[in-house]
Amino acid sequence: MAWEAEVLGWRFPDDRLYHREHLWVKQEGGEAVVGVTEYVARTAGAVLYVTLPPAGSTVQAGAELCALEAAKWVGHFPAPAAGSITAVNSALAERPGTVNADPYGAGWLVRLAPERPVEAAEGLMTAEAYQEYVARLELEEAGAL
Amino acid sequence: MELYFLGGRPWRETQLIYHALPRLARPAVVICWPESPYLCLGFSQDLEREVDAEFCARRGLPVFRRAVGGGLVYLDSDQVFFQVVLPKRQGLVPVDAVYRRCLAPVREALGEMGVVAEFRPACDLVVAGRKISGNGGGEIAGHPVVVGNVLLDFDFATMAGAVRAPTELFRAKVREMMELRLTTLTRELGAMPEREAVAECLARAFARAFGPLAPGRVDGALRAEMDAVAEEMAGPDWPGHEPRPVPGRVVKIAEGCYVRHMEGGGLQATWVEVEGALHEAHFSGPAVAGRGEAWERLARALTGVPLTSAALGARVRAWARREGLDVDALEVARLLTGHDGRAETGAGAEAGAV
Repeated sequence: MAWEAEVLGWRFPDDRLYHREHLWVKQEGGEAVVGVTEYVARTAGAVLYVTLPPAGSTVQAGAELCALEAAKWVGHFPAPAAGSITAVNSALAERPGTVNADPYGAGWLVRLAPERPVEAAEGLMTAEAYQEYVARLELEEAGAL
Repeated sequence: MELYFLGGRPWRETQLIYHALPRLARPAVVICWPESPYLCLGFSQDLEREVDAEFCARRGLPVFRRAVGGGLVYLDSDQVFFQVVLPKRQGLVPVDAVYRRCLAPVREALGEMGVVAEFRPACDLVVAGRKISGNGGGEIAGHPVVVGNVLLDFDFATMAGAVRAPTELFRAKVREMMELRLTTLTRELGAMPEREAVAECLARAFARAFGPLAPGRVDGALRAEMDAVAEEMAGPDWPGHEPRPVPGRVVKIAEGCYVRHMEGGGLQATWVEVEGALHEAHFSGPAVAGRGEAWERLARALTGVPLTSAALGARVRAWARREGLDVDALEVARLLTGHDGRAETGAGAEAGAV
């Protein structure tokens, strides 16, 4: 991680791309690794359950990828890119809190073989753009509820 | 938003309606209660792990898995449900703010009935520290949804019976702690209030907070969507997750209060956790055989000790030295801290948490 964007103490490494629903996606060879950003990890509360799709299944961009439960709230996250799931982080079944503790490392969610390189996927942002997006959301949120 | 003031409904409808409304993009408040009792499992929970299937079969208690969070709850007509389907929104839901917003009218309604309740994060309403309304939530079709209930009365015996328990001691502790940590309108007011009056009070408070609320009707479209939800939930893709490996057994009674059980190294331990400290430990198993009194002294010595390896280990080490016993203090401490903090079952007042 050569550089990180940061807003309100949340870090967004610039070695990966970001989805508006607060997921990161990082191309590693022919695969893309997906996880939630530190924004989720620090604001959602302690993650108690992670529901992941089975390895071998396929997902469409924007369709449901996974669910996290924290604070008795089930939040759903969409796939940031289309592809087939090559692996899921099964360690999260026993240690779901890893999502909070290390969202950019051991708290990864799935690996997928994307239909096309993630750089070409629609709707993904750079760390800098995502930082601005989160900052804007926080401002909006302050007056929204 | 609409108000579905439904009164008593067949039990399944009291769940299906708040799953169907967001799929039809109908923000709403639903007030209802079930005509017959049932159990309701949280989205993420494992059925076999949480529910005593034999007990439920014997009592004819159906089990429903909802799409929102929280733990296993026993629901019946002595509870009034409120279910809030908020307008669809993009991005991460500010969960704490949503809970506070949706529970403020419930708190206000309780106040109107003469019961002063406080909000306790994540989403409990408590009266003098006892839970009277437990709640849960989640996103359904992109809509934030908060569901919960107000306990008019509560069948502690049936809830404790329906929980899958590793031992009868564990089950007894669950019941005892529910009776200590939960309360009901009957207990607070000295008499059972009229269910309809409680429902109307809730409806008025929600109308003030979210109004104006147009009267909602269970029309053909809503009925069809409820049928579609029921069909999906009966299909092979629901809930979309396999049982998870979790050490031991834990039942969450209310925020900060759990009954726990762990086994290992010839030792069985059952205890109550209150605000991160150990209470009412009970040890059994081969490791205890012939030294029961000594282990009872350990249980007493551990009362109130924070559930950390360091604190527990030190106390166990001192006890073993006093008793002249060769016990691996670290192993006992590990056993007592082996849980991962997961709230598997929200008995009783999660009971609130539909």
